[in-house]
Amino acid sequence: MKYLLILALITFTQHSYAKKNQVLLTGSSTVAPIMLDIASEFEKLNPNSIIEVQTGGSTRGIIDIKRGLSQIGMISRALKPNENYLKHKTIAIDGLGVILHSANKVTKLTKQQIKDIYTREITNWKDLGWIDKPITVVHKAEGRSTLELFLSYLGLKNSQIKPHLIIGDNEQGIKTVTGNPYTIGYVSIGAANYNIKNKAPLKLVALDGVKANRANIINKSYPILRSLNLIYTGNLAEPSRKLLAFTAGPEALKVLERHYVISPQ
Amino acid sequence: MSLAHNKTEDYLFKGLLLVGLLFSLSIFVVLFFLIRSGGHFFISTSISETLFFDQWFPSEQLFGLAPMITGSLLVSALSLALAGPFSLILAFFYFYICPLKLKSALNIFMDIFLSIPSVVFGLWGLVVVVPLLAPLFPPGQGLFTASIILAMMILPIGFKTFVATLQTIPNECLLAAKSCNLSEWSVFKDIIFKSYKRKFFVGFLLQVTRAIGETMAVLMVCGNIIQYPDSLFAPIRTLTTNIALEMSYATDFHRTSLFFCGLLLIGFIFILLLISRTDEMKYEK
Amino acid sequence: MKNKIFILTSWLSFFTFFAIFFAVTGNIIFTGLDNFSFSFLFNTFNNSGRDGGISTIIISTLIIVAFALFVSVIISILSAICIDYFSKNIRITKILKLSIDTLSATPSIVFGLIGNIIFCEFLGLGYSLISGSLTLALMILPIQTRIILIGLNSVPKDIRLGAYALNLKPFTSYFRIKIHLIKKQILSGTFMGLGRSLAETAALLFTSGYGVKMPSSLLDSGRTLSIHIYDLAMNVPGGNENAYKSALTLILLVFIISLITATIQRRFNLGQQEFVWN
Repeated sequence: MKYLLILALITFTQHSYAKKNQVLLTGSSTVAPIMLDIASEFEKLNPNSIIEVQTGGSTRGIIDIKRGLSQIGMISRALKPNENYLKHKTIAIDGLGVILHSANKVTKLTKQQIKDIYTREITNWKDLGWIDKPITVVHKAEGRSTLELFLSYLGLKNSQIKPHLIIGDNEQGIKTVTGNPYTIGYVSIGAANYNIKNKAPLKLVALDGVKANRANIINKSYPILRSLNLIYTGNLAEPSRKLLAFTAGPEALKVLERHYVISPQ
Repeated sequence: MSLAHNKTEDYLFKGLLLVGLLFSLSIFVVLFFLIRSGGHFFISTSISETLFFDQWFPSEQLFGLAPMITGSLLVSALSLALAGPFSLILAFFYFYICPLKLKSALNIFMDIFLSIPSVVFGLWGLVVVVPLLAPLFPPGQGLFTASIILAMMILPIGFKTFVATLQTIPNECLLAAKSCNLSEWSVFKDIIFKSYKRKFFVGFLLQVTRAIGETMAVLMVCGNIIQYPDSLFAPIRTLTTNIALEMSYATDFHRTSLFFCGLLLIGFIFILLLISRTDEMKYEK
Repeated sequence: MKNKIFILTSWLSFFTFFAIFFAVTGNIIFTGLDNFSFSFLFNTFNNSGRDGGISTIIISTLIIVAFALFVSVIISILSAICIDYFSKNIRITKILKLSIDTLSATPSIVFGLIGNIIFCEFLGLGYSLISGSLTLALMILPIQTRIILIGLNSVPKDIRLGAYALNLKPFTSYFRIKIHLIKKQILSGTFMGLGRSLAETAALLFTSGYGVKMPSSLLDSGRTLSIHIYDLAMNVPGGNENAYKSALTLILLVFIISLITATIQRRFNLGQQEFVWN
């Protein structure tokens, strides 16, 4: 009886050595939902492959590649100069949008106003033209490139921001803002639009007069833009190479449209 | 089945005994790895930079743990204040006042309550309690909410411990009390509480141990802001939630700081355990 | 008068407890039953968990827990035997018992850290079901060891004296004789460990990962039901509905396990365990 169990254990673990067809992607929570969909399209056409996508933030994407824990990393920014040993492929262009609950009457904000809200110089919605209620400020956790982008746009350091709630993934931010009409947050425009389409009570604010829509991202008039990249080291196994090539293909482009991000062409 | 001396069995036993020894002492393996990964942090920073410092911005190399330590302590203390006396009175009720038919019901329901996973409590807190508190005390997630949820989680353990303690009271004692026609309040205050104060204290310590170590339920309702709470309803972050949130993307030095948080946690709990043990031993003598 | 207030307060505490109990479980059950269909349990995961079901997650959970129990039973029997073997030496017994007690009081997140370091990195297993299982096994080790130890202590004196008289070697007396006598404790310990494992989340966050595919081996990543609930509740807008359904499934499972545990304890008269730890 015991020996049967041991045998079963051995066979069970042996099976996983067919990991050759597996690709693990980790990193940005902005890129993750897009890659999840692209991956499932890929798997339909390549039934033997197993693609796994996990979030954790752009920083995790870089670390896992460095430590060899994943095959492809996802980051929602460009590579920094000290990361030039990594190769990258841009799969989409996205913007960073400030989100409010759809019941919120405010539709546009200036950079200075956002700065003041996040440093608690402005603390009440009535100072922005809405009702007399305190503003609940939602901010991202460290390690997220969305956070770094936001900080560099505002010209602030993280220690100057005084948030009420800290969230990790984009989706968490959206969830928090849709749960409370007096909150303000910032997420990827693609993620916001995706959820708006899915009937979330959310809206994007016009930044310095520029609306957060597709046209303004394409003509680059929207102030906060970034590229969504897949990163990898030199030697890629075949399934990873195929996946990377796939991200420029027609099925992938349809996915990009569904997620409201722009393809790099 | 031969009972003859079998040399291989001797060696086998010694080997298995060694394995058993290793696992009984596995806490030391745990400590070894924690120190290996977190020791660097301990050595290269000073206490004033970490334990008593209040800025936590790893990207700017600031590792002040003070707000998190305060958060952990406050939320545990508050939940103990809510659940401790409650569980004690409930235990006494179960033991002395409760009619027999209701006793088994209380027992069963308490067992079920004990086994509810922490994420379920967290889910309930996030979806039911936070929206209730948010309009009154924005943002709704914070010290108070976390304490309520935590109190619900440590209640069953307190109950069970106190009931076990109460059941060690010699029957003669209670019979004597009944024959003197003492009121329940008198029994509780003068007889039980006086003699079993120490054991109850141990029960409270146990609840605090559990409260300090809880992660998931607190993570979902505490707001996760690194600050000293300026009001009862302010968002906070505890040592445990700090580890949970930042572990997935922490780089080298940041990572060691989180392991150091783990060491701190084990340290706190070990101290609490020691206190409860010395109390127990003193009492037994 | 004081007495009346006291009695009133204690009855109030009784009702408050039940109010809390039903507030929580009632909310979970009724919200979870909304739109619940059994296909939820058998469908696969879709759209970040908003649609589809949790079949792969249930399978991953069962695998992790089963393997964890398998490992844990073995090492807890060995640990209990070890402590019993040294029971004459008070000093060693004290150290061993304190070790086990500290282990049982360690927060689950610290186990997650340890699991990550030992199993994912040091042993190179990565984010996988086996890393999660081994971490869980370590977590439930103290509970099971304590129960088996109680069992070993309750072995009738005659047996111990008989073994001594016959000059039996320890291997024989433990593995051929006593182990058959403590079967009830082993069973009871297994179920308690089972209940604990199902409820565990923090220890698995950094060891078994967030994978959602059907696992094909122990080295694949997978998530358990509790992690799924956490992910849906915190990270997925619109995920609350499925979070509730998953929570309902989980508490039903846990409820059945507690019932079985309580029945075992009552039937075999294991009495009121000194259930001081979770």
